[in-house]
Amino acid sequence: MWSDLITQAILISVVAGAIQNTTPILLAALGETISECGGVKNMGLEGTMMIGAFVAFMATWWTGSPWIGALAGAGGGLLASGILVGLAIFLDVEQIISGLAINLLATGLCAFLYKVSFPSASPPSIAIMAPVSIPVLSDLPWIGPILFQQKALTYLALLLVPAIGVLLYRTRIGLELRSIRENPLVLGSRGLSVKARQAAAVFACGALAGLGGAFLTAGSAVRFVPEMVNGRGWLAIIAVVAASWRPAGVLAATFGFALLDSLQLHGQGVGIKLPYQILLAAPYVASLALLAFRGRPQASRRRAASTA
Amino acid sequence: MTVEAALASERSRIREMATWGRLALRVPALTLLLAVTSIAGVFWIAGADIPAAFAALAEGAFGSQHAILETLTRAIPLMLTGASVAFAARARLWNIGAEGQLFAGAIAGYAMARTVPAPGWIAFPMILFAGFAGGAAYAGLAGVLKVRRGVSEVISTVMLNYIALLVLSLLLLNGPWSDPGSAYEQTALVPKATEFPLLAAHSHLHAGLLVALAACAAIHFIIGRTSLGYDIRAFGLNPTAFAAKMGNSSRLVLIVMAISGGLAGLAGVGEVFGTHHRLLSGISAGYGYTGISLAILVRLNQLGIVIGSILFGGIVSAAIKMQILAGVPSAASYLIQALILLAFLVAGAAWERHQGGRGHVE
Repeated sequence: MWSDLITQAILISVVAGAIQNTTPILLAALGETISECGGVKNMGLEGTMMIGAFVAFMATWWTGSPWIGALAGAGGGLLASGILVGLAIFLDVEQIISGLAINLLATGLCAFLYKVSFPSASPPSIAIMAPVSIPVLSDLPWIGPILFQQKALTYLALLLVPAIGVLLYRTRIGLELRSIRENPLVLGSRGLSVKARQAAAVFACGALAGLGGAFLTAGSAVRFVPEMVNGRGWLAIIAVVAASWRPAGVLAATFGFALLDSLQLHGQGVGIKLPYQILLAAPYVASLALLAFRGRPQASRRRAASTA
Repeated sequence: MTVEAALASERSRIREMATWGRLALRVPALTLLLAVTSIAGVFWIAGADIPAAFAALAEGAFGSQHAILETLTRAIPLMLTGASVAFAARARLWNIGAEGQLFAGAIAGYAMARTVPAPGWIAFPMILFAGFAGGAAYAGLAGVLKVRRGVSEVISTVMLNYIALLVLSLLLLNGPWSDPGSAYEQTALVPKATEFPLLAAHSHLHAGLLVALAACAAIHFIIGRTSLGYDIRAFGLNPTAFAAKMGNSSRLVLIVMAISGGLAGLAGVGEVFGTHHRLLSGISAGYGYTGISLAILVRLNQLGIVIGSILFGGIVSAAIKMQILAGVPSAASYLIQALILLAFLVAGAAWERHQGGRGHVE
């Protein structure tokens, strides 16, 4: 009886934790979905998230409001993606190189600015967002504590999944954007600017990845460490590739990674006796397995055959 | 486009670049201008005296015999990771995993030294071999994922970086190799006989420098003078045409990834047996990632890698001087490297655009 209750409590906290952990990866992955639909691979997602996390931390520290922090984080991500817009879209530098440049810059910039801002040894801490219980729904058994006692940014991320699905696959904007990936000449021949649309998509991607990064600080941790993004940006890219740019699939893949992450945090409670390094490595190994064993759709196989 | 046509067009492009060469001097000049301006901005943000900070940077990197030896020591892993990334990129493979392959090489080299005790003169080549093999096998994993399952090497190598770090941590923290007398993630010191010989007294400069220089020369030779190099260049220019005309592109991808990973693995054993004399989790100061910057910065040229790695090694080894003499946090050194890369990308692309604009009069 008691052990049942404890098991139930642990299960709920694992899944609720997984949904919270989904938030940063999902936000970044939704951004990447938009960007890749426009034919621009943003390989700088990791660095963009790092900048978002750092800017959100600083803004929250200055203003005391994690909300202003989150907004600032999104702004920081938007600025960071300006590098990709400038280099890859307007100066024709290879997309991969431009994205990697963001990562390299972010690592140096965040570590440097953090040291300049806080030269003393004692690390500062910030106020973070409180969970928002949705009335009535949060009282439901199981579902309530899992889904309806989350942070506001988590609700936002989940709502963005259908919203971005509609935007990309049911609107004119989405159609124009996707046509760029298929054939950039189509829009150009109609006198519409390819570059303007790509730039907008990349900026949207940067803002969402920045917001995802902001969730890591203003949303969930009182301190900033440069390593805190820890591959989430890359996992987000993998989720997008594995889901073939479908937001629902992106949600499923990011939730899978987050669940493994959450199991690691609650590993002992669930009775997992493995060394913690193996649990930490699980999302990375799973992501490789996901890429290796996904059923490749016919279209992409044809494209792969013609380009590879 | 056939491979012959692709190579012919490359040749004509090189001829074009030669006539364009005198003008191209303006790209380094523009890069320098942008880099110096932005680095001055970094010093300004740090609240430092800007000329004094530049002086500390120069002095810390190349200001004395000691500084130069230290800079060269720092350049060794960068030369190898830079060569690793640049070599793979010749075949249009982006190896972002030099960091993980460095770890894999370090682990394999250490395992070799631990299990097969040997006198110094034979331990040195054995450790080098193990390091190369470890890095090659680890990068080969990404190669297999690419040719068998179509997984992009960019993504798989990054994931393997994170995994390698955790494997090392598993081995070191309460693992079979952990140093019983220490709370850090590290092994005990390696036997004296297995340490790489020093090249200069009272310094850390070890024989890894010769290995790195030889590796760069070997890669330069392979690319320019062998049939493998010809294949790599052809594949890099047009993989489809290569597969159609010349055959086995899967084999080529595996070979390139293995050699690329092997170079990074050599950097790993250099750090274990040359610099730290033990295996520890902090064995790489992001050398694998800096190698990417370097490779791009020198346009994949092996001679450029040698010079570039000494420059970047200087920036890293000057970090302490900058902190002490000018009050710039040592973390600035990575920012400075990234700014140099960005300055180069902007200068190069802007200049090409400018040239292109003049070329086509519409």
